[in-house]
Amino acid sequence: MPRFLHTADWQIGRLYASLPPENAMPLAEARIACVERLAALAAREAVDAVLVAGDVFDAQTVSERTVRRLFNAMAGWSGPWVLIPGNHDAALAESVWTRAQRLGAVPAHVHLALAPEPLLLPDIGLALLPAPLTQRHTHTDLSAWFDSAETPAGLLRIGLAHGSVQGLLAEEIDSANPIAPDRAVRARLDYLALGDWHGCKRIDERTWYAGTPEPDRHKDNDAGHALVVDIAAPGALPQVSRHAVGRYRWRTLDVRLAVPSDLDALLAQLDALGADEVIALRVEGIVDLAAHARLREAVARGEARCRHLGVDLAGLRLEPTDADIAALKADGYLGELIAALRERQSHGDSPEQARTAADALALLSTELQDLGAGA
Amino acid sequence: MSLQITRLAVEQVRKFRRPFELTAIQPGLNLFCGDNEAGKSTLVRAIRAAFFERHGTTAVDDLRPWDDPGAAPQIEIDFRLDGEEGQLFKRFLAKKRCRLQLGGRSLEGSEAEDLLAERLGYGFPARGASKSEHWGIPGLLWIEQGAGQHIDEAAGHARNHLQGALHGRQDVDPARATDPSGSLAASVGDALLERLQARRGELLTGTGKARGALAEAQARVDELAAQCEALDALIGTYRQQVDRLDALRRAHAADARDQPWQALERELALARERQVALQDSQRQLVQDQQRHAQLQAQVGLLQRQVQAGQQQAEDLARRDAEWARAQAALQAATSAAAQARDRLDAAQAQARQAAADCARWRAAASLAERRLQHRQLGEALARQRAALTQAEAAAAALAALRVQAAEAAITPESLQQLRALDARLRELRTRRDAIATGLSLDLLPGVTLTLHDETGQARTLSGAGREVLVRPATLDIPGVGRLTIHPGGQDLDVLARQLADAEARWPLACQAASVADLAAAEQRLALQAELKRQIGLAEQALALHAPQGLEALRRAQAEDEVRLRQLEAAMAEGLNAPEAVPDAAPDATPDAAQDPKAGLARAEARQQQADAAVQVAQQAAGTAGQQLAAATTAEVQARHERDALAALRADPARQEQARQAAEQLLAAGAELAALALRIEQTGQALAQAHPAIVEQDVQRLTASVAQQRRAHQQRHEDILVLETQLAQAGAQGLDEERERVDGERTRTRDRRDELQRRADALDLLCRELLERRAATLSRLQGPLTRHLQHHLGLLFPQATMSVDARLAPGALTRPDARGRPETGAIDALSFGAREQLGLIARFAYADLLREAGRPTLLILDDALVHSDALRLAQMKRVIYDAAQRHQVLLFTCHPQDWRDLGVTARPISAG
Repeated sequence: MPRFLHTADWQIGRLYASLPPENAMPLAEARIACVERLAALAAREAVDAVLVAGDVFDAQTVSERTVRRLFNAMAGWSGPWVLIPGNHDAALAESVWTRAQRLGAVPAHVHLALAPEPLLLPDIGLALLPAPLTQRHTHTDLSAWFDSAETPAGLLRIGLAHGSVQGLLAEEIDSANPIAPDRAVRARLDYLALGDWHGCKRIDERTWYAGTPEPDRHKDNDAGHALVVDIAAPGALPQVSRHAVGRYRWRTLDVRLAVPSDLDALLAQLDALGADEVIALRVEGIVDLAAHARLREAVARGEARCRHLGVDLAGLRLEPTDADIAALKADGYLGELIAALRERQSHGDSPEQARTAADALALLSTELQDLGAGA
Repeated sequence: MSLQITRLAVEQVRKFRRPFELTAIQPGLNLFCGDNEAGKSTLVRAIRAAFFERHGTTAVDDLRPWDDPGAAPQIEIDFRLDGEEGQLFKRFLAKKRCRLQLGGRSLEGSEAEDLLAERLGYGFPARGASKSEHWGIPGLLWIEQGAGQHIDEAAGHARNHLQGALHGRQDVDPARATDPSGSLAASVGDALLERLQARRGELLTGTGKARGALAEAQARVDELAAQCEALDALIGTYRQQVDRLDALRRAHAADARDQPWQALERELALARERQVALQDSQRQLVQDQQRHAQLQAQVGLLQRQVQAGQQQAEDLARRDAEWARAQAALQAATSAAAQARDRLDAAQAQARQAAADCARWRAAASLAERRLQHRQLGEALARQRAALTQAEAAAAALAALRVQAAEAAITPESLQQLRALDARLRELRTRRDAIATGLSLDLLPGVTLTLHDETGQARTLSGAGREVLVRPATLDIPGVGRLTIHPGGQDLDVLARQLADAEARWPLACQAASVADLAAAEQRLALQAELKRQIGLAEQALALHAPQGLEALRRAQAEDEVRLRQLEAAMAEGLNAPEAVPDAAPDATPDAAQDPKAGLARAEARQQQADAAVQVAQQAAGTAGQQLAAATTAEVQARHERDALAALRADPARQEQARQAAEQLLAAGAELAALALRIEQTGQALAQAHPAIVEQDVQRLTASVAQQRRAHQQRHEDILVLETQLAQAGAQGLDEERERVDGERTRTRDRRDELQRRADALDLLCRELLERRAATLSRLQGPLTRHLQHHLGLLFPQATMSVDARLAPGALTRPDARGRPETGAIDALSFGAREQLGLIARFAYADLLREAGRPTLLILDDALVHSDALRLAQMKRVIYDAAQRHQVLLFTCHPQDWRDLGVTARPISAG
């Protein structure tokens, strides 16, 4: 009874360069580490093969070291790995694959399915029909040839493709690299292993996106899994089980501060951040000076707790209370200025002016507090 | 509310060793006067010390009288503060004490001091002597001697109180000077502004351009963008190369599979075959053309052979005819020659006859001629003889004339000499007669006298006459005796000698001229002329008859005579000769027969004709002979040629040759026609096959095959090169690098944006603060300005004075000499003016403070000493006005200057 691991979209070579290096490096490393965990999972689950449905590499010209490290990471499981190119690592005339082969980095148990031709693994009862991308973008269905492909009887017909299933993900994904939604039926496939969609998604009983095993973006679409597929015999329905393999949790925190207790909830969330979380925090609403200070402190604490905390406070308005202003002891023209800034941050002539007014207000508050503290 | 001192008492203070007291100090203006050193300033110092100095301080030694180290300076001031009566008692140095009674309260020590300080608006130093910065409001209003113009510093020390007054607040705590709530907000505002400006300055320049971290971030963003762009370009190139490699590989594989050059090679082989076939037929064509040309030459030759045979036959016929013509010509020439001979003989006979006739006529003519000559010569001789006779006669006449002429010859010179000598003689005689002694005589008839000259010659004189005596003479008068006469005059002798000389020469001259006298000479001259004329005539006559001279005439005659005789002899001989008159010629006229000359002429003409006829006949005979010879020769030649040709034509070998040639010509003509046909056909075939195009086909296909193979090879090489390049480029990890750079760019851009936002906020804050501060200031300055203006108007009508941010007098604006506003700093004014403005400012501050409910007291120690009378008068109005609202203590050493203040000057004396 063949049993295989379905995964995709490893995106090896992603650098997260827009994050600070100290945060970016571990996230990049995590992608290779995840492959090691996949190898371990394969061994643990005693699968017959690992099928990777494209976008193994994030780009064609990744460094040689990255190429070697990937294949090294696959050493943890010595069974057959079948890799197809996706849109990020298409099998062009010169590609990351040809480089890997030239480097001699591809171990014998790793099969690179770089051409649309059946790959027969009779030992384990699999007949693989790969649809590798051989151009960066294709507007024809590369899996169409599955329909007429002959495979030896008795072997499972497993399709391996990278692209977007038409009609299901239309609004989410570029229409390039289309895949017919009924391909599995039309091509009499026992299973169609798909890549490109980073979330884990079932299309039909025989068609699945495994999603990326290590999440790489804040989109909450159930990434971070690999699928173990059991098919009793040709024609039998596949038994698919999801296994979490990702390390980092990517989350988006969109918070609107309306009442004082909102802040408390946010602070609680920030203080509860885990070390393997990558957070995009966006805060909107109005805070007084004290709340602002608390939020700043909590953000500083949160940054230290998690892998990365991206903070967007552009929607946050500082609204000193009368007590705040009294505490700042800002009367006379200073008081007038603060009042004007408060007014302007809410009803500025333009969003830029409003933002500048808010910034100015925060700055002024800080400076006045500093002055007060110094006096 | 106000502060008003009512009494002042001092003891053991400097000059005032003994108690001194000023009582009944008035609420308004108080004038205290005293001479220098009288103690005015000591009292002022005492008031200040009482308030400003802690009672426990040791820094008040100056209060002590000079020679009293153990003194305890003591000051007591009664005052009224905000309606409450109070008394301050202070004793320094020895037995220090401070006591304050205010209202119902009584305070001691520093408690009392602090209360007063707070109420009056000043402070104390932590230790040591009180200095101006502690003095606050009193420091501003209590003007020390000569310090009236120092307004800035004093106003500075009182600023918080002034600001408080301007804010209308009364509870200003000087200790909280930095508290923004209590100030004009200038202090904290200024500190804040300074801070914000410093922060802004870190990011922006004065003109708002980025600097520092912001500029760096921007530069880094730009730099990274450029790097990104460069990497994008590299990646783009890489991708293009990948695509190209793909295309090349496909093309290469397709070629390797299809081998497109094979079809071309097959086509090439066909083309080559076609080319070879075309080359063969071209070669055949060339050979045919050569053979054709040969045949054409051969046919020409044969044709010429056949034509030569025909020509010979024609030649023979022609030569036969020519020979016949030559024979005829020979016969004609022979007869023509005979006729010419005959005609020559006849002509010669006629010529001989003519010659004989001619000789006869010539002899006759000769005789006739001699006869004529003889007659003519005879006539000529006769004429010559006559002429000779006449000529000889003429010659004789001429000779006679010439003899005559020779006899009568006289030369013009001798005649001239005679004439001159005659004239001299006459002159001399006239002169002698004139001076000689005259002797006129009239003698009686018969009486004679004898006159003897000195030579003794005697001459007889008779009758009447006259004698001239030149020399002494003796006159013998018969009968009478002798008279000797001596002519007078001395020249007479000379004259006599000259006369004698002339007279002596005269006969010689006459002789020489062969004349008797001058008349003869003259006559002879005339004769001579006549003879000369006659000789001329005679000579002409002679010349007429004998032009060549007589001798020539004679000779000619002799010659003619000889000729005549010869003629006569010849004639005689001729006459004796036989008659030679010829027979009359047939053509001779009867008259001509009479005239030998004419006959001769005719005979000669006939002879000439005959001679000419002979000549013509000779020529004709010669020509005929030549023609005959030529005709003979031609006939012989013609015969020979004709015979030779006939012999040739009769040769059998030649006849065979001609036959063969005819046959060959026929065969060659046939071959030639066949060849021409083939050539035309081959040529047409070749033209239709376009051999040049076929050759081009071969070239084109050869090149195409080579090109295809080369392209295939080149593509293979390109693939290898591209593979190498891509392998190298791929090893650079361009995509990773690009992601790295792009990420950093994003981060840097975020940072840049943050900094920009901060800069914008800071810029906004600075701008707003500056504006609001300025607005607030001008609002606060209003009341002060109003008070200032109140006093200033009394001193400088139409002038205005600004107030600066520190509430100190700023600039003064007033009309200049021409009425135009002129603004200047107060510092630039004269000392007197500055002091006046200093006082005015203080009065304005006092008004302001009073309005704010602060206690005010003005103390002026010897003020305005540098003011002129006019200004002082104005200032007195100002002071009087101020004293309506404040208590004013004015100390002066010039009481007379202040008489018109309406108060009595109270003298002060420590004595």
